[in-house]
Amino acid sequence: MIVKFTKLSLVLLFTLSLSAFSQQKTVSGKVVDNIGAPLPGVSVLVKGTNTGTQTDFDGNYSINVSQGQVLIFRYIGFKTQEISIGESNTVNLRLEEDTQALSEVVVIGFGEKSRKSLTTSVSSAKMEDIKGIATSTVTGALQGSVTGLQVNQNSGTPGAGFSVRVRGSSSIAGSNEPLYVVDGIPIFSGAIGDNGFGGQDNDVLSSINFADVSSIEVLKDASASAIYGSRGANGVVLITTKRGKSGKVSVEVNSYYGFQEEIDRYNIMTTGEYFRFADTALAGSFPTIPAFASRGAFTGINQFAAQGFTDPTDQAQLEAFYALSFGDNFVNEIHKPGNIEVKQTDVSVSGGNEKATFYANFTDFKQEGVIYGQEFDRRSLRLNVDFKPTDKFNLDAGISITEADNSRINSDNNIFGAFATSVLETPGATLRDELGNFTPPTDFSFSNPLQNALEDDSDERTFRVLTNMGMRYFINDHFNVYGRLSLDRLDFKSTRRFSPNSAQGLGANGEIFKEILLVNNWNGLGTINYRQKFGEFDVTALAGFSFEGVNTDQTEVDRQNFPFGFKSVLNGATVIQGDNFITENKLFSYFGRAGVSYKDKLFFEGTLRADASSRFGNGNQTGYFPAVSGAYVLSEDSWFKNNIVTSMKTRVSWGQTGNQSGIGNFDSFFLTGSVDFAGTPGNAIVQLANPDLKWETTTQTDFGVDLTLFGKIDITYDYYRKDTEDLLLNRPLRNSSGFTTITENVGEMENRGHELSINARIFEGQFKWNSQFQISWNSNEVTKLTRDANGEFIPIDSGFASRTAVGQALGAFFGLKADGLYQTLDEIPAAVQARGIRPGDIKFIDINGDGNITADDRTFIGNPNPGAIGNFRNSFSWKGFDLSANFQFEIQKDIFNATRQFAGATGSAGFNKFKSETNFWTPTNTNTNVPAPRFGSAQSFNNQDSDFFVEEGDYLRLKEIVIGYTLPKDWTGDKYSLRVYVGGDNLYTETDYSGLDPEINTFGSANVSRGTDFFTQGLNKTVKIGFNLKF
Amino acid sequence: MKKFNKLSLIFLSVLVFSCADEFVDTEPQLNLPGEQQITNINTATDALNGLYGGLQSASIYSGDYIFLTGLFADEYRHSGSFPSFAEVGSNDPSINNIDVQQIWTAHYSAIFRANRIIELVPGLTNIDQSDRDIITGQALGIRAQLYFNLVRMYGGVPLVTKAPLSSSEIVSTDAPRETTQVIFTQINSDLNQAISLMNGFDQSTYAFNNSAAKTLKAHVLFEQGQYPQAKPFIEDVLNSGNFDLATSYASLFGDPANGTVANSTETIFAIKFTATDGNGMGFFFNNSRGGRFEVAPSSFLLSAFEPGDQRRGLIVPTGTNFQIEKYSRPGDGADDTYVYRFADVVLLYAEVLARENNFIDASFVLNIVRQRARLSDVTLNASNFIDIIAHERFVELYAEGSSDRYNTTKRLGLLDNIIQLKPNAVFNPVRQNLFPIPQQEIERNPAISSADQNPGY
Repeated sequence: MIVKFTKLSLVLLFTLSLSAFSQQKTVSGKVVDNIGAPLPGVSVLVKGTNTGTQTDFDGNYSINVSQGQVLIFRYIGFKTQEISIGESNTVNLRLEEDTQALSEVVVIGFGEKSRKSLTTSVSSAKMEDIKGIATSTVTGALQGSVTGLQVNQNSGTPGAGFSVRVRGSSSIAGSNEPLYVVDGIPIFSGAIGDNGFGGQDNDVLSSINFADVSSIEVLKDASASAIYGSRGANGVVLITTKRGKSGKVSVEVNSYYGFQEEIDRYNIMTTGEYFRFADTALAGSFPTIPAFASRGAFTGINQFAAQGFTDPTDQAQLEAFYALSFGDNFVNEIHKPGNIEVKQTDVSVSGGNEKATFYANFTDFKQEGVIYGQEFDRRSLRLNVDFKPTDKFNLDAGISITEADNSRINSDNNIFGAFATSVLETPGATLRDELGNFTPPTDFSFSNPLQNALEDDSDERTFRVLTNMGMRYFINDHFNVYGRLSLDRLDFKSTRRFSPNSAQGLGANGEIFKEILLVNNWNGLGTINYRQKFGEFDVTALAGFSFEGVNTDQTEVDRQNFPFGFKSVLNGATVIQGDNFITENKLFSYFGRAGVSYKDKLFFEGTLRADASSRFGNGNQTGYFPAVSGAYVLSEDSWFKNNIVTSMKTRVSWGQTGNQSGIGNFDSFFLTGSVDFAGTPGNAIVQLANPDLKWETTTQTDFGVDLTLFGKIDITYDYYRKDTEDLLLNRPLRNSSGFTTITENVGEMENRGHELSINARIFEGQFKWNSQFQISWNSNEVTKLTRDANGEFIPIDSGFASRTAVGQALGAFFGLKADGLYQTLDEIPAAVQARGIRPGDIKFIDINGDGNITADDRTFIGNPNPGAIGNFRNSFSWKGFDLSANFQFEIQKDIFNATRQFAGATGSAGFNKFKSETNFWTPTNTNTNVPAPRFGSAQSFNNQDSDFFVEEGDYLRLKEIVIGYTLPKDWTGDKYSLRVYVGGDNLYTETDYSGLDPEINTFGSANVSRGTDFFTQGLNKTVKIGFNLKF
Repeated sequence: MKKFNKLSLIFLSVLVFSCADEFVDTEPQLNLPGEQQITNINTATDALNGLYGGLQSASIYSGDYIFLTGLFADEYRHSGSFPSFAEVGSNDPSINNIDVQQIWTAHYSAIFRANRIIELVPGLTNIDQSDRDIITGQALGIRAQLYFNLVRMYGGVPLVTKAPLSSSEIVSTDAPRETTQVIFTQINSDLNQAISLMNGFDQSTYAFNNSAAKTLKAHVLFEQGQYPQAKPFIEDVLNSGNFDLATSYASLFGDPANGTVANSTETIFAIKFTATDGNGMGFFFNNSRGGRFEVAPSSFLLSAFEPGDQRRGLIVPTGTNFQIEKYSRPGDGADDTYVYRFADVVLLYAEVLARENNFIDASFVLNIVRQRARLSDVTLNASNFIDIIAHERFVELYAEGSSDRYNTTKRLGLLDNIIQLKPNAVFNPVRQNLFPIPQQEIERNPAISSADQNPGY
């Protein structure tokens, strides 16, 4: 008997049993959905046999069946129905949408599963919820949508990088970012190019087109990510792009246009206010020189006289001078006026028949930055095709080409940048003269911020091709083999120009630096998949291998000294650099997964992956990563059935994953390097063999419960424990060996946490209301580092005040503790008075009681890792209108506001200050937290790293709010569907943090130095209008 | 059909399993494997150049070794801001002094490079014996020089003569502080071997040749108080015909346009620096030309010169201060550093003759150096020769790579008094004018504990 297989577009699940023979007739009919639209591709099966068919484009089907047999109608996302065949030869059916959480199909590593059978912790981001967010990067849209996924944008510059953490950080030297997999290909991710340009990093993920994404799954526990072995320790983000469905060709056009504005802007002193502050500071150290700053102490320009005043001892003249406000407000001048636009248009076409389907998309995205010279745009094209030439053979292929252009300026924390300089520059000058030319940098303390923004530039162009091709061959009912090859090719070109007139280019008479980075990331895999039912046991198994290689070729050239008007690297007269670096790494892996389910209610699964990486030392070439998990759907048991808890599943998992990102490509090798001696070539040993070098291992245990209350409220709860060991750290070697450190796997860290997600379908009729609340808690502790000769753990300092120490969270802040200001001389201990400290200075706490304030009085003063993060989303719809709002929050987190160590009262008096600092302490104004202006050693004393600069970074932010209206069919006709909407991103933020934005980090996605703000641009609010058109 | 499928699957899996190991083999593109460092004449020569590159370290002949020893003695005064330099200038370096530690580490880094050459080159039969000897000889000579610097500054130190290949080798090898006798035995053995291997390789400016080895040998024997044994080595160098004093002292040193280039007649051994190597000496000594002016001539040096001494000309006024002018390119550091000059050997000869009580010849020899400096003659006798020779070495060899002032005054027993005459200096006789063993070495080396630290620290 010829067995004919029918295929669903997503999940295969069949029962095998002997067919029954009885009188056959032909039954036909039409299957539609709940609003009457035909459903093609619905699976129609004769129960108890292997006879089946599918509905066609118009939802019609026809099948041979005997009276008394049962037809099963099954379609993903809809409730399965069984119809007994009676006299009639026509069976029409309306299928209902299945909103039960457990019926959802979830993409997992190397396959898919129904959520019901999932034994591991996997969260899905709903694309309808997040697709409208006006952001340049896929990760940006994930903010506040997945429990346990902490996403922070590092800076408000367009194309900026994101820090992503799944269940906390677990590495010190390696990356803490998850592995990103697009359509099964682990792709190259992370920051690229030289981050030194004003401290902003960028994100290679910005070259993934968001409009192409159909689903995003985050594999959170070890059991889910163990199949990614030595790269799964930080979790895995699976991105699946859209594919065509058989049916008529459908076209979709989406477009939006938005206006942006920064959420907050620095408020700085006027010129007069600044000089009052600076004069007060200098008066203490130079009592014989009145109004020293106003008369040129820092800039050499006597502004006091320039404004027509003559007597610096005359209080009335001074007050008049301090009341003035001349010169430009530099902060306002560097921001663009008018509309700062962000817009996107994407057009996609998809369709096909039973044999072939396709999906094609073109997207154009552009985002301007709020400061002159900032812009990001991206164009991408994608084509995904699926062929089914025969029943036994499927082919899938896809290609995406993206070109992204990022114009950046020297910004953030850089004295040659626009942003920091606009705040700190001594006020009083104008940025342009009467003729419109830039005031030269020599007239400023550092540079002309507007000139920096407009004359220095950096263009980064990324060209990325992601392509893959896979083939599946069905050997028989139970076995199929799948093979795939893919390539991720990234070309990154960065050109940085410093004009001969700007501060940074002046000394060199112009400088141009160009970098070309070519990355080839190719991989292949082969798997054999097995599925068979044995009575009530359903067995699935997967065995496979994969191989992968990444090679990078990086060229850097730099020239200085340009003739007038020339703008290409070639034209520079002095060669500064001409270098090329090539490196590569390879990975070969075997993996396998086996799962069994009993009666569709008890599930077990085990996976094992073996990774051999070229990075591991010879002593540890292969890593093994096992995992096991199990789940029990209690609600399937008859004794459980009740009306309150309509479905309940408990699951437990344990697994080991690895992190190899902290190992350089050749760190374990014994290496000779080139050393030049006075222009003569030479060589020397530069690295000793390190054969034991290996990956960091994370062992994670997860307990989870998924339940549904009243058929309407879905609750998911997970408790996890992550223990990471073999952390890569520099172990010191005796100096007399000729080498000072070697990298070893010695550290340990642990993370513990809970995740809770509640999704309530409060109303589901004409008026729909869906409410979602998600929250996750994580606590991190470093438990082991390298030891010194006395056996004490050696802490590691980084960033401004970040310290990694045993017993503390990673990157906890370390410094002195402050307790307000000294008000009277008696309060000040003698040893401290001897150092020149007076009332109005910061009162630090003498922790060790030795009568003086020293480095030994430092302690842990804050934690940048949030205690809990989450979101609260509500969506409503009624008669064509829809409204949705999502609030995102992070609580119990601290920020080290290093910006205040410069623009605050304790910063050097040569820098301009925040407006808030006008309320500084004086003997007649003692009720204030702002310390007195000081100069010299007293100023350095006040400015020491302490909890004076640690602020609460808790925030609640309205991440997105959208109101849309779908035009009724009467107006648009059956063929067209048009929705128009208006919305806003980041419109409202509630926080006590005094800086621009509590989300940013000046050190980008750095591992350890987090939660630090140092002149980092904040995010923007956006108001947008858009439409979605389908036909 | 099924059989075919099964067969092809088996074939595929066999193919796959055998590929794995070879697949993950990668080769670094920017480096050579360590095993290939020294395999033939080309790589051996490259390794030797790498060793000279190690001597260019900012902590050896590009700076710290010379500055710190001179600050400890009365050669320089600290005119800058580094707290680590200030400590040494007042003769009270802490055990954590960062520059004291970096001098130690940089010397051992260079010793590692020398050890590689000494271990591997002699066994390479694909190189001519004479070439092997010359390369190995230079490495041995340099190693001896490095240990000589260390033992005079720190006392007994770990003796490392084998280059480890892995970190576990470092951990499993004991490296305790040896006695000074053990170190001197090694130094002498290295030098004797170097001298015999480099027989005939006597003249070059930048290679540590036979003459440099003999000069070093003479210094070592002087340090050990074996003056008569030093005489033949000194005479070999003097009579070789390869060297002479440059006609004028000023011609030994360059100008801001060209930097100091080691004089071809007088140099026995110098370290070469080009614009990309960045010799830090100019940057630290110069106040003008964008220098840092961290180290200035001390009042003792300034007052040591007799009127008309040409050698005084290499110290020039700068504002109200004085700066040493022997290195004039602070911007790119293209100044060579002299380690041994012919004048040094001439002065050694004068001393060795004086110690034989041959004051007539001793005076004659000493006056050759004085005449080049346009000074009148002096007469040595039993009671004045030590002071006169110490003085002559001071004004001749100040601010050069041999760090002569500290080493000579320590050897001649004059350093105690000198320190006590320095204002704001701490004199602790227990210290015997040695620097402390760096605390980081004590912490990281299980064979050395705080109890092994030099007395007085």
